Formats: sequence, C-alpha cells, structure tokens
Amino acid sequence: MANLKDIRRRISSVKNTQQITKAMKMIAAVKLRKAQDQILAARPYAQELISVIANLALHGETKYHPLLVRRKIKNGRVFVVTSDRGQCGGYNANIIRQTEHFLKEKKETFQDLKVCFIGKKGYEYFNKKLDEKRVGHYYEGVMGEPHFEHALKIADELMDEYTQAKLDHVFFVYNEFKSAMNQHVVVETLLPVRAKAEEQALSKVDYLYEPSKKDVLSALLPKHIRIQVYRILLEASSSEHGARMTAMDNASKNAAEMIDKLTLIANRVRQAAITTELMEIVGGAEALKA
Amino acid sequence: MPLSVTIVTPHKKVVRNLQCDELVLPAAQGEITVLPGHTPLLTTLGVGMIQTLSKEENIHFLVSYGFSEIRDDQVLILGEDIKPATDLDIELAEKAKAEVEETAMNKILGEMEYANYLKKLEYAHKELEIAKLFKQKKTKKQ
Repeated sequence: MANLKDIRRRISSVKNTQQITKAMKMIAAVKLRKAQDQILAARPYAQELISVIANLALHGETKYHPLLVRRKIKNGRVFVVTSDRGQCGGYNANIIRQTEHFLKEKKETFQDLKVCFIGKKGYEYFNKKLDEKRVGHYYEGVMGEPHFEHALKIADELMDEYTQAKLDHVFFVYNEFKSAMNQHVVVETLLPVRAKAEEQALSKVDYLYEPSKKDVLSALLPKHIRIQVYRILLEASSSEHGARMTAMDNASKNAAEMIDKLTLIANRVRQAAITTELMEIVGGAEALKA
Repeated sequence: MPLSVTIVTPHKKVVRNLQCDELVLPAAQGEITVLPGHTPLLTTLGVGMIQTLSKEENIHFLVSYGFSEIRDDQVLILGEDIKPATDLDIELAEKAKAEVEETAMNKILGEMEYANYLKKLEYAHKELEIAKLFKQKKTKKQ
C-alpha cells in the first residue's frame, strides 16, 4: 500500500491546484460580467442595423455601393477567433475543429483561401499546420480586451481590400455567446453584404432616400461592417470568459472530489499502520509472557 | 395611430417604442418633421436635436451622425452617440468644446483630420447650445 507521507503530499498539491482553479474561476466570473454587459448593450444596435440592411441589399441594387458587389468567388478569407490563453475547456478546440472542417469543405470553391487569426491559440495551431502561403495576418493583443478601435482596424482593412477586388468573400469562425454555460461555434459571412434567407421574404419596402441612395448606403454599410466585427469580438470574448468559468468550476469540483478520495485512503493507511503497530506490541508482550 | 420611436446606440438602448404624435429629425438636408402615415424613408442624420412631441410630454435628444428608418409608423434611429437633452451639462459641454478647439490650435491638420475636427466642433457647439437651452428652461420652472 502507498506510503502515508506520499498521499499527504499529493493531497496538499491537489489543494494548491484547487486554490488556483478557484481563483481563476472568480476572475473569469468578473470578466464575464463585464463582457456580458458590453455584448448585451451592443447587440440591439447590430441587430437593428442588420434588419435595415436586410431590407436594402435584397433589392439587388449592387451598383450603388462597392460592398454590395458580388464577384465570382476566387479569393476568400477566414477569420479564426480564438482566445489568447488556455484553461477554458473545449472553447478553442471546438473552433479549431470547425475551422478545419470548413477549410476542407471549401477547398474546391476558392482558388485562394487565406486564414487570418484573432487570438493566439488559433494562430499557434494553424501556423504549424497550414502551408505558409495560406497563413494570413495574425492580429495580436485583441482578445485580452476587445475595443472598438480593434474592430475598426480590422473592418477597414477588409473593406479596403474588398473594394479593390482583392477579396471576394470573408468568413468569421467564432463562438457565439448564449450563456455562461453555453456557447456554440458559428461560421458567418461578413462580406459580401447580404440578407439572410428568412428575412428576404418579409420585406418589399420602397424607401425614399435622403440625401440620396448612394450617400445613405455609403454611410450605412461601413458602419454595419465595423459594428458586426465589433460584435463578433465581443461575442467571442464573452464566450471565452464563460467557457473558462465553467471549466474552472469543473476543475475545482474535481479537485474537491480527489481530495476526498485521497483523504479516505490516507485515513485507511493510517489506521492500518496503527493496527499493525498494536498487533506488534501485543505480540511482543505475549512473547515476553511466554 | 401614433408613431413608435426606438433609439439605439452601440452602448445602449436609449428608448424603446416611445409613443409620440410628431417627430422632428435633423436630417442630412435640414430638419424634417415626421407625422403618422409617413412614407417609408431612410435618411442620414446630421448633428442636431431630435424632438418627440406628444400631448403628455416633449422629449429631446442630442444626436450626431446616425440614421433613421421610418416604416409603417415605426421609427428606428441609430446613432453612435445619442443623449437625452436633460442629461447634458453646460460645464462638461464647454470643456469638450474647449478641448476640440485646442486640437486645431496647436498643429496643422491633414485633410481627414480637419474633416474630423469640423465634425467634432459642430457637435460640441450643438451640445453646448442644447445644454444651455434646457438649463434655461429648468431655471424658469424653479
């Protein structure tokens, strides 16, 4: 049977781990709270913009704005939004799996499909795995705390390239935030701007435009793209903290369970030792008597 | 049927389904007044004051560069910065204006910077103007 000292040592090491996971859980909870407030505030704006855009883009009036133009698909780009740090359960693994699946699926469709990264974990994984020429830009230091400026930079770069016809299709792979327990991976098309299928049936409104259709669109669309990127960053960051909180909660629970088990074993070993000792004493006394 | 106004910014929902009989918007080419039964309209907004008028109360908002979609008496106003006029503060507005003015005093601005500066200046002016307007009204009541 195991040595009592070894078991005690293991218990104290598990206890240390538990303390760390508990602390991480608390931190994640605080950060989640903040991120959640942000995403809940930003969502309505993003959604209302989508619904306005949905009414517009479907009239097929692509001549009014370069972002509405649909070209023959040649150059694509996928943004993989992961976290910078680990310790968050299956969060990054899910995204990576989904991305690999997606890349395999779209291999034939695109002549050139580059993968860009927001978040270190995705970059580290794909940088080793993919051909050098398919690895695109890695946006560093965004996921720690996503700001609107980050989204602005990414969105403006994308819009530039799209307008210059260097890009024909942009996807985002990210975790959508449902609740602290529940996130799911979404693959979303950012460009070209288009209405979702279910919304197409609804609207056939003929708007008046002021000052002119072109002016309204050229103000509306960049704003839409920026806010969508911002929303995606916020969704991802909330999901990350949620996932980490859940993972750390589980880890703390597992540690507690392990401590219980080890304590039980330790006590048994201790009792066994005492029993043996007693037996020896009794045995010794008997021997003396005889 | 009265108008139903919803105002949303990226930071929060300012109002949701506010009922009013008349709405004044600072559209890109001058102020427009919207009454129930308005034809569908999509317009950009400049800097200025949004006013919702009804029998019970009139509510005012400061807006800078947003959009408005009007459809079936539902008015949706989207803007990056929309504040209720009663939240404005003269001192803060004056400070903001001074800050904006200072940026142009100390260096020569590029074309884009200058355009930005003009936008900010216009906003600061309007903010101060509206803040003063409502300060006066408040003091009169007292």
